[in-house]
Amino acid sequence: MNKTLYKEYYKDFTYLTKKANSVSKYTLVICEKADAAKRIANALGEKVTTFNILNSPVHRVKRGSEEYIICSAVGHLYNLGTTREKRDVFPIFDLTWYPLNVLEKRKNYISNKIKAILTLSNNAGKFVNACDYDVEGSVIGHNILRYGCKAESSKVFRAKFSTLTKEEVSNAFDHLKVGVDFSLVRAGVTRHIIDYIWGINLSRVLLSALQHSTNNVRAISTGRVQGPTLKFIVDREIEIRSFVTKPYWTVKAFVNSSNGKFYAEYLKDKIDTQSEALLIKEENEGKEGVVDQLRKMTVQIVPPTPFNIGDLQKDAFRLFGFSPSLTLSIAERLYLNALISYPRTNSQKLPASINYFKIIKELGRQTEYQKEAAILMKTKLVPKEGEKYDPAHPSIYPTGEIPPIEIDGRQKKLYDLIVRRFFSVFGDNAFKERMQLSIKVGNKYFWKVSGGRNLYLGWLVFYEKYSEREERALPPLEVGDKVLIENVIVNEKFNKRPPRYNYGSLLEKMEEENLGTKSTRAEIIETLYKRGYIMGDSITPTNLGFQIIQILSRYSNKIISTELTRDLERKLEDIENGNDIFNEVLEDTFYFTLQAINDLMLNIEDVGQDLEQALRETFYEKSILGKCPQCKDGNLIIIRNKNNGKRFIGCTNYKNGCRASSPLPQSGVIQNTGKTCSTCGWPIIIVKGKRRPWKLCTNIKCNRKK
Amino acid sequence: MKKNNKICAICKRKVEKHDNFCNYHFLALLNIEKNFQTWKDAYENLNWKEYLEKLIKNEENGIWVQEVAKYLITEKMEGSNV
Ligand SMILES: [Zn+2]
Repeated sequence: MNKTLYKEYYKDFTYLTKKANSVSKYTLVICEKADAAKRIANALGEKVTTFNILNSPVHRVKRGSEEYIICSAVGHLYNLGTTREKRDVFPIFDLTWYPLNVLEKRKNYISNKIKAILTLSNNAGKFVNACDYDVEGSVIGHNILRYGCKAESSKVFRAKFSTLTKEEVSNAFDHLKVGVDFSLVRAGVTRHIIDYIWGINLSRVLLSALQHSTNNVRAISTGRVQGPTLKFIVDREIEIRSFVTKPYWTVKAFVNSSNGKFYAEYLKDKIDTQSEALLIKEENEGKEGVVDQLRKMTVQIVPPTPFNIGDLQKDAFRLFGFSPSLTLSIAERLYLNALISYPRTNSQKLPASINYFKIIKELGRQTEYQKEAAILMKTKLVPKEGEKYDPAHPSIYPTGEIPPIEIDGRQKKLYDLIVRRFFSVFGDNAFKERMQLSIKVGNKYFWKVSGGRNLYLGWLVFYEKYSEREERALPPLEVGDKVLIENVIVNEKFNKRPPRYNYGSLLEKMEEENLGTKSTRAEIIETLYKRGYIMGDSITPTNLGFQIIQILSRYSNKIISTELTRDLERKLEDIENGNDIFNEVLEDTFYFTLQAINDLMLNIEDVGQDLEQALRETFYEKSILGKCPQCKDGNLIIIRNKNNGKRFIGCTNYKNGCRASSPLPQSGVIQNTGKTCSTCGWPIIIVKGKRRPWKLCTNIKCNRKK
Repeated sequence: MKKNNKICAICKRKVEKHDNFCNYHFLALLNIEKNFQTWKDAYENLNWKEYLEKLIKNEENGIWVQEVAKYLITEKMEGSNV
């Protein structure tokens, strides 16, 4: 059968035809992505020939007497699926790995990928899994070798590397690990199975509950990590919406000394009553004070730890506003260009084996790092490291290779951040002088003043533009100096409500609660957006998101329990570290799934009704564009004309006489920006159609348009 | 499960723990009551109605708090027949 397939597709491919009839065998190398395959081929030998099979590039290279054929996947080629296609059947525990094209029509191109790899495996004497060295990479490669190549395990090898530099790849192929890396594969497969079973069963129960009460059914889902993550967002929103602030007062003074003017703060940060704050003003303003205590101290600021993916994502969000998934994808491009080490790592360690000196020296070839490299090359290189450890990879570091001219602005930014962080961890501690003093007025009132200056920059030489710091300069003052409290400023303030999560802080919370893994967290947040459960950069649950959590917590608390999820993450880590508890973990999952299904089924009618109402409210919520600027009472919403089906914007206060209305573009998807026009106050929308998305004010009579 | 057909006076969600409000607006009501003493001390001689008015005006307060405060003010005025 293989031979026919082969003839059918590759008649024109003479090299392989010749090979098929000869006895000599090659080593087939499976990579995760096309770019990685190219790098690996180039690392293995000087003369690389590239050809195409069914639109997939394949590389051939000789290394000593051995011949290598290097091909690539596009991430996962297989995924779990069930034979029970009817969407209202559950529970489902029987699943198999299917080629992705079988599961999703739009992934048709996968079938050619698999055929190409299958053909190449016919004459392979050895197989090397050279996918990224982590749980997912191991599963990707393992599935291809098992289901695509049908390779015997005695012929399978694993390549382990953290960067795609020639040196490290070549070294990995000199020391290939024999056999399948079972603990990584098992951990990955277990996660896939659990997530699939949890997700498909609960989603199907929710769907069938919804079918119970309405014919108008849409996709609805929950997942193992998705549920608890959504719960954080909903819990925070409940806190915000029911928050009652408290008033307090702050008191500040503008002080005049013979050496200069400065601000002082009242000793108590928060004053509880208005009358007390006013009394302080009355009894201090225009009075003379004396410098009472003066403390100068030198503080040390230690260098930061090397970047792991979480730390990199946090800093890239703080400095450039990159979302974690964007940072991850940019970092992956940098990795595929061999500019940095493998980015999906938890580690804050930097082993000496990477050769610090060599990397710094090579970075110094770039003019922007010349000075920095020169400083470090004169010192003894000892990195500051963090606690976190990852068995597969060290922390993220630059390889020293020079970036090609064509890398884009965002890649350049992230690369610079990674290089400067790498330099910083070898830097000296920074020293600052902090000054604190107090001013006494009479015997009753005390004011405090603080400021400081840099003494020695240390590691901040490398990282200054990225560090967070602010110091206030002070005039020289000595104990006993007399000063004048020129002016006292009283401010009424209110406690801030808790902040909404943003991408970065939600990621941090998930990490803190041990939900998901470094490689899945960003994706889970994206899914919550896609499902319409959350919206905005400052993350707010939609009505639907709210209701899903309310329904799940009312009828089956287990589904959104953080504890259960966390416990499972710990067990998956155990499996990854070689502990054989695979079956036990799966049994637990089956048991919990059945329990959760049971909880929901006992209340199927209520669940269905609640869901239906939530969907209806969400639909309404989505159509609201903003407050009506004409009556200042109703909401402007998108309405469809019952007669001609055309959409327009109108006010919900129509019944009470508000006639605000305006036509809308008829084609394209309308997205609310949440912003209003600075000229007329009507909502601004974005229309996404076939052409480039465009922004416009919804008011046709807006003066700006004239 | 026992059915309760009463709905929240503000948002029309089902009423559960409180007679007039859904659980969310009830939670807001509890927070409003809990914080009254603090506000009274802070401004001296602040009465209940003034307190509610201050809550409505202040953007830091949650949306449910503002809705409940508005409801309490209008209800009082209609009910008291002044
Ligand atoms: Zn309510």
